[in-house]
Amino acid sequence: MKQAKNQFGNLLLIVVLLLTLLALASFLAACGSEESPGDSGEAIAEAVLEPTAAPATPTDESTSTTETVAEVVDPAGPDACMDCHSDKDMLIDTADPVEEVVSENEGEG
Amino acid sequence: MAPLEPWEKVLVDSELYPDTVHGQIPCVDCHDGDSTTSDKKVAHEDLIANPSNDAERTCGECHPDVVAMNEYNLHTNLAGYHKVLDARSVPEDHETLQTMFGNHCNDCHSSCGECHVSQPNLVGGGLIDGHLFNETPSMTRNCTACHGSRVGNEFLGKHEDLMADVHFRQGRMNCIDCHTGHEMHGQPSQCEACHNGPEASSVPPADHRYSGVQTPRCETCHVNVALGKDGIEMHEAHSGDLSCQVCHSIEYTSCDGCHVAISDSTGNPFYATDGSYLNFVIGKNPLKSYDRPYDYVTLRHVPVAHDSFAYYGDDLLKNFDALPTWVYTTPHNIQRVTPQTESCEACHENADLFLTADKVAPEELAANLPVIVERLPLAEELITDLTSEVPPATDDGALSDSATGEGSEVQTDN
Repeated sequence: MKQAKNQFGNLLLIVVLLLTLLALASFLAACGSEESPGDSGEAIAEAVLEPTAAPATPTDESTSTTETVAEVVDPAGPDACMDCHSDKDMLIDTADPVEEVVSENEGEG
Repeated sequence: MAPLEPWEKVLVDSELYPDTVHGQIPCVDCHDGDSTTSDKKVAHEDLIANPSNDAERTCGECHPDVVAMNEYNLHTNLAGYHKVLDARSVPEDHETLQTMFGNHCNDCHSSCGECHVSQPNLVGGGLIDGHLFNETPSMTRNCTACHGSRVGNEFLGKHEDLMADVHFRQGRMNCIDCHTGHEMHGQPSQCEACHNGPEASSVPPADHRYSGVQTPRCETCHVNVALGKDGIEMHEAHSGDLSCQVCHSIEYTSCDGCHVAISDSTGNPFYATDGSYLNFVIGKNPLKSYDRPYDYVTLRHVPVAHDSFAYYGDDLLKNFDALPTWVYTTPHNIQRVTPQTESCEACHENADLFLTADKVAPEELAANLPVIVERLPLAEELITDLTSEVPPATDDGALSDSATGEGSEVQTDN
C-alpha cells in the first residue's frame, strides 16, 4: 500500500514537471515569435520594390545624356550668360573676327 | 597699357563676381539680351553692352544720390567743351558745331561703368577685373587711359629728363588721393548746398572747373604752408599772389593747331594737331576769384585755332578772341625743388618764364591780352617781398610799385 502511494507521488511530480516544461517552452516560443510589423517579410519585400530612392534604371540612364545636352543648350535662369562669359576657351572659339581699325589721327589728342 | 584681347574684354570672374553685391543681380536686369539660351546671336539680341550709359535706369536704382549729380559731372556732361565752343562761336553756328562735337568730341564722355567696371571706350573698353565693380578706379587703366598724353605722362614721369610728380615718385599717391569721388561725381551748382561761409555769398556758382572752391587744394595737406608757419620765406612772400604751380611745376605739355575732319577713304572722323611740346609759362591769372586770388598762374596753350573746324564750315569760331588760347593750368609734375625755387632772380626779371606778347602768335594776340604779362617783376622787388621794408627808390627817384601798392611790374622791351 505504501509502495503504491510512492509511485503515485512520483508520477504526479513527473506530470507537474512536464507541465512546467511545457509551459516554459510555450512561453519561450511565444517570446521568440514577437516581431515588429516593419520587420515582417512583407514589409521587407515592399521596401525592396518601392522606388523610394528612385534608382536609375537602365532605360533612364540611356535617356539622361539627351537631357543633359538639352539643359546646356536651353537652360532656364540667368546662368546662360555666366556659362559663356566665364569660359575663356568658349569666348575665344565664339569671338567675332576683329576688324582692325587704323587710326588716322595725327599728333597727340 | 597693352590692348586687351577680345575674350579678355568680356571674361567674367565666375569665382568672385557671383558673390558680390552686383553679382546678385541677374545679368539681363542691366544688359537686357536673353539669358535663357546659349545661342550667341539670340542671347545678344538687343544687348546693352554699356548699361551705365542709361545710369538712371541701372546704377540709379541703388545709387540715386550719385546719379543725381550727373548733370554736374564733367565726365558725363562734357560741359567744359560746350562752354568754350559756345563762347568762341555765335548761336547761328551752334547746330553745325554740335554735329562736329558729336563726331569728334563726344567720345570723351565717360559713364559710371567706364570708371568702375571697364576701361573707357575711348581706349577700346573691356572689363578690368572680371566684371567686379571697383569703388576706386584704376589709375592707369581708367584715369590716365584718357588723361594720358598730358596728365599721365607728367605725373608718371614719362617725359625724358623730367621727373615724375613728387606725389607719385615719393608719396606713391594715385589720382584719387587728391581727386575724390565727390569731385569726380560732380558738385551742386549752388555753393550754399555745402558751404554757408562767406565764400558762398561772395562768388557766383562755379561755371568753370577752375572757379569756385578749389578741389583739390594743395593746402588741404600742406597746412603749414597755408598758415605761413613752415618758415619758408618764399611762402610768406608769395602765398597769396602765386599759385603753387608757379614755383613747384616743371615743364609740361602744350599743343597747337588741332583740326578735325572726316576721312574720305574710311568715313571715320579724325583729328590732326600741328604739334605738341614741353614748356613752362607763367602768365596772369584769367580766373581770379575768392578761391584763386593769385596774380600769376601757370598757362598752357590749347590747340584750338581759328580754322580748327573749317571742315564743317567757314569761320565757325567768330568769337575766337572771347577766350585766351593760353589757359590756366595745373600741371601734374609737382617738385619741391624746381628751377624757379633756386633763387629769387630765377623768376624776377627772367623773361623766359613769362608769357609776353612776343611769345604769342599774332593771330592769337587779341585773345590772350588778359593773360599776357606786360611787365616783368623787378629784381629789386624781391627785397620788399622778403623784408617788407621800405623799398629803395627807383632810377627815376620814385618809390617802386610795391611800396605804393600799385602793380609791381615794369614794361618789358616787347
